[in-house]
Amino acid sequence: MRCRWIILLLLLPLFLGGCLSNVDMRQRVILTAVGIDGADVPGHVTITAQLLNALKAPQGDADAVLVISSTGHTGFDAARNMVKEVGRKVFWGQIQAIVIGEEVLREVNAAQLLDFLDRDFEPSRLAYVLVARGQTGAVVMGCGGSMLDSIPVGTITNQVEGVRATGKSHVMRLHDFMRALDTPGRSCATGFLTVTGEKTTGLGEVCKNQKIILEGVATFREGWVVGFWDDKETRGLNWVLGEVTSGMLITKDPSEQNKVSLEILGASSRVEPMMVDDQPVIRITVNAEANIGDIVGPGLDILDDGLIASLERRQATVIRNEILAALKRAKDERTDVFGFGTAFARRFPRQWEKMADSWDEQFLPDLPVELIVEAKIRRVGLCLSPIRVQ
Amino acid sequence: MAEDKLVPKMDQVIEECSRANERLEAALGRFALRFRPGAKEEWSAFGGGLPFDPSTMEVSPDMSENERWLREAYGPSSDLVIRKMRLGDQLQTQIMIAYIDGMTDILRLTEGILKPITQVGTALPGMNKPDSIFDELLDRFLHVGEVQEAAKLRDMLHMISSGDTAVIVAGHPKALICGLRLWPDRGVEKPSTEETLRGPQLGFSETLRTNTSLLRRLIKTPGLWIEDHTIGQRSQTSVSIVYLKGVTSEELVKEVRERLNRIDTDQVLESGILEEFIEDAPWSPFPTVLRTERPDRVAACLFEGRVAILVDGTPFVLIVPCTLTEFLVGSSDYYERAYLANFLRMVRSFAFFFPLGISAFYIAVTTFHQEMVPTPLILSIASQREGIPFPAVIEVLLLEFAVEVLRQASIHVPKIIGPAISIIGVLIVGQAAVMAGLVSNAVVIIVAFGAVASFATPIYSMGIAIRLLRLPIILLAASLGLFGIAMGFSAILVHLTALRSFGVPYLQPLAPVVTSDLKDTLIRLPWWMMRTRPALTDVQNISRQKPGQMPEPPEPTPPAAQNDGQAQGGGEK
Repeated sequence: MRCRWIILLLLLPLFLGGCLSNVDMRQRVILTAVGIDGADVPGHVTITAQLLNALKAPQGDADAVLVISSTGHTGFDAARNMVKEVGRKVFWGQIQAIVIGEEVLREVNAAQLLDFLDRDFEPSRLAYVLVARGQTGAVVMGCGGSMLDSIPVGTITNQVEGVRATGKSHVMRLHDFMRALDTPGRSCATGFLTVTGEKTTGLGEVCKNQKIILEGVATFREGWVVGFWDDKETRGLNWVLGEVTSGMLITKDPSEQNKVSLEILGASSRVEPMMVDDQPVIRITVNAEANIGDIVGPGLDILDDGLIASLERRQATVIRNEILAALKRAKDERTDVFGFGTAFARRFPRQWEKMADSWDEQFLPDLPVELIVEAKIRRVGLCLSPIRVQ
Repeated sequence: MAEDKLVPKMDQVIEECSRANERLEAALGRFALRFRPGAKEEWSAFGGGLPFDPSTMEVSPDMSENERWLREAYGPSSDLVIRKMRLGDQLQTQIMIAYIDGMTDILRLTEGILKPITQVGTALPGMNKPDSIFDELLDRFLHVGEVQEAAKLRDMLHMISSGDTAVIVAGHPKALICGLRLWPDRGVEKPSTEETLRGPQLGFSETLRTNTSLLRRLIKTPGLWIEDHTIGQRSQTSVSIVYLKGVTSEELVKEVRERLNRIDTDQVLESGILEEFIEDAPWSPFPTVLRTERPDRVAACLFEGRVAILVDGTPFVLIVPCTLTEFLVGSSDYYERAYLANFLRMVRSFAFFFPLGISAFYIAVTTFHQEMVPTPLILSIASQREGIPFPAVIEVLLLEFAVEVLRQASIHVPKIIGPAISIIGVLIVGQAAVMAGLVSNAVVIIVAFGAVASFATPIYSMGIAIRLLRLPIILLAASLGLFGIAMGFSAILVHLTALRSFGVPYLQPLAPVVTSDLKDTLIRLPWWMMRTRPALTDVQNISRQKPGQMPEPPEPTPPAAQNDGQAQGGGEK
């Protein structure tokens, strides 16, 4: 009997938490996306948030989204200052996109800007981190998104998901971004947004005229933004990371008369660090598979023995060129977005200790890379040769 | 002298005591029995409160005394019929026939007892001894199938009350009891709480004999043993322990017998009363005794080595031992083909736990874990919650209460206005509550679905356990979120693991795992694979059927042999 009482007493503290973390949705407002910028006062931070009017958002009303800016000493302070205008505490659990203005990134390190999102328990770690190129995050927050999405942030998340069909951007989630910032021998690279069109609406509303476009990646070195890569270089990065799942490769047949586009079916990659004569060497192996998507030109004999093989060689060349472009850019910018350093740290921990400090500056620019690309064409489509155009 | 004075005094004391007891009993109600010293002895007396104690008395050879006892025992009851006749040489021997009107087959009474006695009884020259008349009656005259002798007054009274007819010969110390019971019976109808799409459509009825006959029709082996007991000091209810000799463990039968014999109460109106007396976990919300009104289900359980307890006066039969998985099984699971049966069983198993957690899960997620919900869904929920005056838990509790009230009302509502009430109650009130912003749509959907799912459990008593446990889980969810739900579920699981039903762990064969019995739990294998009976307590003859009975196409005969067959035995077909 006494034993029972003791067990009961031991169980009771479980209830001490009570309803402490109870959150009533009626007293909170859902935040879906946030833009982070500098402020007029040096050292201060401006936060621009897209807040959802829960009553109108499911119907996709234009005024379902409220755009609020507030300023504070730090990100967290600014975020809390939002209450002044909104009246409700902001619920960060559903945040989906974090857009940092390029300008503030030149002045403040990304790690410092994102600290409050990483430290607090509420914000979702699954939020995408993006950079607003040549813009402030506030402007991106004010963009209305496409007609297809009921809330503006849906456009950003859909673009991030959809860009996998081209492989031409690479967006990191908050969790991965913070981890990469903290990992020696690895740099962050995440997609950037550009804005087109003129702002026509008031400050607190979103403007449907302005469109957001996701492209390329912004690369970082130790939390500072160093460059914006174009489509080709970005896909080069994705090939190495093994994150190309789909996309198009444009090439020509050996006769140079037909344009052939190849639809990527999938790719895998292997990054092997090696020590040759005590010097680091990287071997990258990329395997890619593709279908023939279309053939534009006078036509070719697809049953020709050598044709597919030569198309495969050309396919490999396109991929190789993309990777080489990315490697060159990374070496120029001294930013190890491929995570070569991490690969060495894992494989050769003792040698890495000596290289770690000067990896980006000394080793990366001269790192010999052995690149092996194996390309395969799996299917040629439902017809053999294109219909002859008279 | 002193003794003479003392005796009346003692009588007075006893009388006063009993009067005081009566007052006490009246004041305290039935609880008084507990505190009354010596209650046990008086309690066990048959029909305590009669002017005499029939359990110690014999049937008297003196006819008038017998009659007086009968009249005194039944008091002013008008349904006691006593018919006196004479027979034997010069009609010198008096006999008395006693029965209860309305419980006896008057036609057979006339044909089988009255007619022979009046017609032939006179022609008994030289028959004057009560013994010889008694024997003559028993041997020749009573045209009744079932005749027993009763020497004890208690037995005779019990038989008469059960609808038998007593024939008493003056001067003979025994009564002849003729089984002529017949009373209005509902008849065998569909089992109202356990209907199935496939399988027999018979249900038990209120008469014990009808019920045993339904079982006997399904199991024709003489090994179907039916053991009679009488429980209830005043109600004198017949209770039968039914089992398959050679299959059921003797130990189990002994245990059932002992538990039933231990019961000392004055009424057993329904098997539920017995259930509460014999169950292993009286304080658990989970039933450890299965109750069913389907003869085929009882038969199936008997074949598995279980024991059935039939109670006169109720169509609900108790089955022990009984494990959790048994409650998730519907009779038709065994009659439908295995694929359909398994699909239905999985749906049912899911639906079993659904009402337990669904509303709690909603509360936990919407008040503690909004980040877990996809944005479009949380938006949809938040937009419904906007403007609702109550916190989610109050909303859920309100609706759960409303559903329980509706459920209760639907039992009592006369059938004719039932649909009208359900339209008003469910459609109009539900719709209006949402429109008025009292409750949100999501809560209505969740609570309603939970209520519907709770009916998917084939055995009502198990559904009730889940309904009861829902409330604490909801409160845990409201105070601690998913953590609370996890705590509640673990507590339930621990409790289930600790339960036993007549020595069989409640979660068997899942925990402890009995591999061979997994064939009939969440999935049911085809019949030809269910070779053994479940391993309950020491089931005998564990093998149920011959192995290797999977139906297969016949072996193709070699062409030569086929030709032979055609040539030689063409005419055979």
